[in-house]
Amino acid sequence: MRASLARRALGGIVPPKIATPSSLSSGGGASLTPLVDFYSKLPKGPNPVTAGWGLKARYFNGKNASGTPVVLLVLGVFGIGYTMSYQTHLKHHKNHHH
Amino acid sequence: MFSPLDQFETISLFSLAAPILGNFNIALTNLGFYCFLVFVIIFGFHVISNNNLALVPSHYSIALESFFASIANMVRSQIGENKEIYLPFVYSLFLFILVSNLVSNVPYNFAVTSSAIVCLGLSVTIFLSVTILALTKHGIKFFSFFVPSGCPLALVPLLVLIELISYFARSVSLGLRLFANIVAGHTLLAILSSFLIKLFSTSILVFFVTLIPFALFTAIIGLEIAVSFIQAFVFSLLVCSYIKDAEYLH
Amino acid sequence: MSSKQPPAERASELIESVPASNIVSKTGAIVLGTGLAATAISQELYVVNEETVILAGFAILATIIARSAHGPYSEWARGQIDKIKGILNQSRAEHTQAVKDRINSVEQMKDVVGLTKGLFALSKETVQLEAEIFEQRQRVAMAAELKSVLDSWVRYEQQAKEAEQAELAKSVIDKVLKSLSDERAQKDILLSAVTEVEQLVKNKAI
Repeated sequence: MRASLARRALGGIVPPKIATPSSLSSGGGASLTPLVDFYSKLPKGPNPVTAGWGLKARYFNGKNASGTPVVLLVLGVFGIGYTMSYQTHLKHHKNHHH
Repeated sequence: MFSPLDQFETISLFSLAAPILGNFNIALTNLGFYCFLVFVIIFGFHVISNNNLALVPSHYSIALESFFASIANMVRSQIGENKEIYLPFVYSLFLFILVSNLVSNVPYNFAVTSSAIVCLGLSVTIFLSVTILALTKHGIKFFSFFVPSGCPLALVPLLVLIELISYFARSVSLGLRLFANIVAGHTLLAILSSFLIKLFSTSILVFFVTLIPFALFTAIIGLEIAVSFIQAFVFSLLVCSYIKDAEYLH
Repeated sequence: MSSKQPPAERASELIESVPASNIVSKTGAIVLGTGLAATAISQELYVVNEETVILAGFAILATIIARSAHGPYSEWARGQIDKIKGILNQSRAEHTQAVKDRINSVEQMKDVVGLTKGLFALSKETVQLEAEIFEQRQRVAMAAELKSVLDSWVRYEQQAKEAEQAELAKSVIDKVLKSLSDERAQKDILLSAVTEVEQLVKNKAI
């Protein structure tokens, strides 16, 4: 009984714990080094503008996107179709209608 | 002589006599060429508008993304939340039908989906594979699909017959719907245009009067473009519901 | 809507819509285009037939669709892009803030070693002081006890002495009284008193 009394009296003497492992590693007790490694490898600053290949960078990527390729596609499909029709039958229809 | 059905003719662009085993004649037809063209357009569009896979989309990739999202949404709502395994199939099917319809709307171009062999081939293949899917998934239980729940025993033979016929009719109706819509639309345009060219080439006065029916004609072209979207959507929606039937048997 | 515009404006608008950089090349493009079309038709490179009507209708419709859909589409796309960009930027800012908070919270632990060492030294000193105090207190208690014991001894001795004296006095008185009661003593006392009185008388003292 005297010993426990003494311990209780001495309990106030031991300094409060201010450095806990949980406050350093979010409770997991894991080391911070993988985290630091991860963040140190991340790129910094704005994304460098990559050139890409000509047509794509010129008409499609990011802010350069325009409707021109769609118009060109429709014109191209028309051209293919017309060329085919011309080669297969339209050239035989010359002067025949009317 | 111009016929409104001329445009659906499959012609050989060039052919190669290949007498390997018998008299093979390997030919590139306009059907094959347009299938390839549609593939190139779809694939090229996906490659060229991926915006270098950046996280922030461009005006092209946002279209692809929202398009993909709506197809994914359709698959999830039709087949099921955990059945996204069918999404690539439905997505490519939808894109193939949509792009081939749209390409055929550009004048002078051949309509891949106006070819009965393409549409019926697609639908019969899908029908067969969906049936195989259901059989492998449910085995003999699959045949319970033909007996509606809670029907009197006396009616079972009749109902099974009806259900069987309606099930087999799917294989044709799916493709026929697309085929008939595209053929009807293009034929209508061809017939109307043959009327209009005669009116336009009569006299100056009639030329200006003909501008009124021509406006209507333009509206019908718009309708055809809408039909292109609707038919592609209906086709993939029905494929989704057939897959759902195979997955869950009602 | 275009009917309200003056013809000159409409003309300039039409010229503007031709895809070329300046007015000279625009005129060139128009001339070239018209010339090419005319040549194509006259040489029958372009065969005018039923499909031409479809082409005209499609061209008009495509232009209408492109004109009317371009604005709303790019607006919608810009909205979506801005939304995604906003979400990404916001989450990046939040993450940066979280990392900064973490760094700050860890930074508070920066001088924890020195602080803990100081605390331990302090508590060591406290313990030593406590021990000293305890020792002194024990010493004081010991001294107090000793004093009380000695005091009690002193008190006892005093009492014993007093009791002894009282006893002595009492025994003396008793003895005196006893001797007084003795006849021989009474005679002796009387005799001595008589002798004393005789002495006094002899000396003419009285």
